[in-house]
Amino acid sequence: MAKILVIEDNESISSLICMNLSVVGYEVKPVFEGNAALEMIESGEHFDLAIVDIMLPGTDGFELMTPLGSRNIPVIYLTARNDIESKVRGLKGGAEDYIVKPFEVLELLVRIEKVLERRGNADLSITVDNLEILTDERIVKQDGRPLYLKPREFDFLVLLAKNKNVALSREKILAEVWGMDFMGETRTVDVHITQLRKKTGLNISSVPKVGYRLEERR
Amino acid sequence: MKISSKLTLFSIAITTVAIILCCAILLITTAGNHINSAVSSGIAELKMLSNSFHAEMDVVVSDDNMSETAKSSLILYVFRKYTSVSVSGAHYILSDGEETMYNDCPIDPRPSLPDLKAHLEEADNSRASNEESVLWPSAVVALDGRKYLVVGHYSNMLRDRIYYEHEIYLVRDITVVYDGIAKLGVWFALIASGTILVCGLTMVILVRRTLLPLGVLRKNAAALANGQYDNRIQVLGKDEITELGAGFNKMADAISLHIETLDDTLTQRKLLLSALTHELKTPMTVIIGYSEALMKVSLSKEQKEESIAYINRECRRIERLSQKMIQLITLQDGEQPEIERQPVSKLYDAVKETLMTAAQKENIMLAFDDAGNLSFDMDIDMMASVLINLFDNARKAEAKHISITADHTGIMVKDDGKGIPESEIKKITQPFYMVDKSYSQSVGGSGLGLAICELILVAHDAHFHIESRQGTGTAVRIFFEKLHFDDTLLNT
Repeated sequence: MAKILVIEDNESISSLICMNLSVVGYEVKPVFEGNAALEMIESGEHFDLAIVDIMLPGTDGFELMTPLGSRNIPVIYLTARNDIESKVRGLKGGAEDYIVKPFEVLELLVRIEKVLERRGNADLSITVDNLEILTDERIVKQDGRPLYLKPREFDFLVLLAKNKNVALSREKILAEVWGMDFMGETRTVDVHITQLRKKTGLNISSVPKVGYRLEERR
Repeated sequence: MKISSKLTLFSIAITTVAIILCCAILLITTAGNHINSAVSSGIAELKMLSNSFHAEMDVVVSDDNMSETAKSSLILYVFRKYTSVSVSGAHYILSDGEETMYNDCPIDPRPSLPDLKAHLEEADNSRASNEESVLWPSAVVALDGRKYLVVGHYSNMLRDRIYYEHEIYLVRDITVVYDGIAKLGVWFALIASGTILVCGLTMVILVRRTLLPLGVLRKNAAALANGQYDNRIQVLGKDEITELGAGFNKMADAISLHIETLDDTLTQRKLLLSALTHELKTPMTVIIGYSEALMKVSLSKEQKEESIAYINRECRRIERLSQKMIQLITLQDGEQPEIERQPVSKLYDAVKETLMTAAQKENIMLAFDDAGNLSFDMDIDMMASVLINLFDNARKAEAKHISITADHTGIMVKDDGKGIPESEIKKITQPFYMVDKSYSQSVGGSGLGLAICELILVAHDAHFHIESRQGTGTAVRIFFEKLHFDDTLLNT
């Protein structure tokens, strides 16, 4: 999985980001101070992406853009600054995305995924339990043997696997798998969940009042 | 109707009536005098003629030797002699009661006068025979556009002894008199209208000029109503209206001052509010993020406990923040402290326990000096809050020794913490300003402490002075301005 550098001075928020990212399978490295972040970038350690706060003690987030850019690490700003000037400055400076606090976990995950896809750093294979999903070839292997899934079921499985351990609402699933303009009922989701459970034997639990969550057996 | 038009019209009307009345009275009186004098002169002429005529007739009539015809001729001759010398251009009629003996009049006066004989006899009966108007009745007759004075006289006695009945009439053309009066009337009319015109114009200008400042006043009031608070009226001279202007200026001053204060308060509020919103972002992010994770993400037991701890910590932070905000806002709203002269030792007692406990927890050496019998005008609760805030700042600056001392100028809180960079000292009292943002998270600061202290001190007519060197420590001196002077007075 991709390795993500989290540059955030607030310990609570940093740990929140790290927790959510590691749950879905990313490898994270938190840094709490601007100058320390600079050192980390220049140390030559490989990162697939950096999540950067703008207001940092020491070197600020805008100043970190140049070294990050020269090392070809894509940047997502995650900041409390909601003014247009900062957004324009951040995105013009070369950031891939700009998220304003407070943020939603799912939104952060989706945006990270999209950036990784754009950069070609996205994982082409996702592993959940005994299942290996090859997203490019649209093949699912269970213990090495191919498993037949309908196209919709495959998309659904990819969505759940990419956000494993995170609950997705029925509406979110409908929008992602069937498209925004799909007018179907949320019951459709339930039907597919049953099918997926039967075919893959994965632990897809329903979370009350939220939706469904693919839980990896540890 | 405008007050200026009202005033102008009213005064012009009064002036007009007065002038017209004056001229009319003058004209009528003058005309009367003129006519009276013309009549009197006519009567006087007729009297003179009558006297002279009587004197000669006396002889003629009493001479019995003369025949009636000769008498008549003589009488006529005598009459002509007197009338021909008349300089006033009068015309006469002489009659002996029955027939006219002489007549050169352009008009016949008799119809316009009462019958002379009957008139006199009637007057005799009522014993009014000596009155001028009875003896010499007169009238003014208009004919063909001319005016004639007509006077008549009847007599039946000559020198009170000779009976001789005769009537004399005088007719004089007095058109000139009336013409003169008419001319006078025209002149009066001209003068009156001229005067009215001049008066009216003066009135209009005067009223306009007097009321002009009212217009300016109205304009300025309208501007004031529209929110332009910097307009003022130019006050020239000293009368009731300029006094009104000066009063208006005073009012405008008061309003603009008030609005400025309001604007200031509003700006301060806005700044505070935006700072607060910003300040709430971090705890909100943490609370929303962790609660969402708890709700949606399958977490390990440790992760769940950690999340709940984070949420709890941030909620407490918000709670602290809101308490400080309330304190700040009530202070900004001008909640008046109960200021009394209080001994410093009482203030020390109020904070000692709290501070000592806090100091012990973090291994800080806290020392109070002996305040002696020093006392200041202060609200103990509020000043205690100041001391606690200052102690808190020292604690957060990782001080190991903190001392609180007092002298006759005020109180000082001194520490040996990490100090404040010089460039930051000025900004330090701004709400939410924190020298080191990162450590405020762990030590639980809100960035409001010094802002609150400053407001409390302002309410006490006091201020503080911060001396700090990075790495050495900070000293905050509180000066009680008013008392400083009182004490020096007492000491000398």
